[in-house]
Amino acid sequence: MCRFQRACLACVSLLFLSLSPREGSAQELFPAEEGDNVRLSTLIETPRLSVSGILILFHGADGLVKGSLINEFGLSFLDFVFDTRKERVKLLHMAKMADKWYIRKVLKRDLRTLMGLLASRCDVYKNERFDISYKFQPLMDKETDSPDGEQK
Amino acid sequence: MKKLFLLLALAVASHFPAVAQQGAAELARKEINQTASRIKSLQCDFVQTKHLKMLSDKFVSRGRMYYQQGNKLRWEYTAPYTYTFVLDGTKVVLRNAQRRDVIDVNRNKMFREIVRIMMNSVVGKCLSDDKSFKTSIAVSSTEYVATMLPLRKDLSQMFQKIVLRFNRKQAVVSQVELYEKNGDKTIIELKNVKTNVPLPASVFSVR
Repeated sequence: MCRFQRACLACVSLLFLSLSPREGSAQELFPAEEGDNVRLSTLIETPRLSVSGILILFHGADGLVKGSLINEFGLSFLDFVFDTRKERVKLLHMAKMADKWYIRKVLKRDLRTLMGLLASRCDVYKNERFDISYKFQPLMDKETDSPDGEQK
Repeated sequence: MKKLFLLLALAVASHFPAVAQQGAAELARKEINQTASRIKSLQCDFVQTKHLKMLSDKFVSRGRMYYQQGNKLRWEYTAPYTYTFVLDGTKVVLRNAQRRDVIDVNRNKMFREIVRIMMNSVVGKCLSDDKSFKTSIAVSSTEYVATMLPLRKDLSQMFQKIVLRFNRKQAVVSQVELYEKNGDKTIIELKNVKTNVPLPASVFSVR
């Protein structure tokens, strides 16, 4: 292989690495199979406010992924369903303070994008138009699914 | 005449259980209020179980809580995430792995209300909050159960009802149940409750 070819190969490798989704952890960010569930620590930031909490995703029957975003105190912020076959999001419930038509519109679109990104193991996304950042991290401790501390 | 007398006696007697229950509820309220006023500090572990109706699933988190008279509260989650809520008089600090936010409670009406309800729920003072809740109390051999229906619009938009369970021996809160409009409920069990034990100032530090 000549020097020029080696240089090209190195550039292509670097380009591939920089464009690849981050593999920060081996844990999945999206419930790929029916019956899977995933729990992600979530941070949504806008210039005016930030919302943190836990996003719980469950892959049910018929290709439907159900999601609930709750805050750390357990209060519900958002419930939605993502149809993996049609790639459509349906918002079922939103906290009253955020339940405005323009927020629903943006959130619905962003959730559709996010479901695809999470499935590709991308844990960050920014809606440049409205300056909304989304960050996700898998919750590491799954041993506390029972109030008595027993493993599920 | 005898029949009439018997009928009257039955009518009065059938009213007694309701009257007795009402009397017991008032006694319970009085006892809870007296205990609440005597609590200078409180610390406990808690287990929070969120029941998600749509997912038919539950999510459990654990932590530790500290309360001190004079508007001081530390509510700290330790598993499966770290998150801390510290109220030091007028300032609230929210801290998680990624951010630290400081909120002036005096300038934020919503937070002021959240803080007031949290503080009052922890020690049981919210039973007297007639402007915010319509409260009924049931008495059993082991506990007092206060069911609070929100009266204010901002609270009723979030909650169907809040239930506080009091350990009858100590008359302190042993469990808080939050029932949301979407059918979810959050149950917070307080364990290893210790009252009036001195707490170091560092517990409520906002730095």
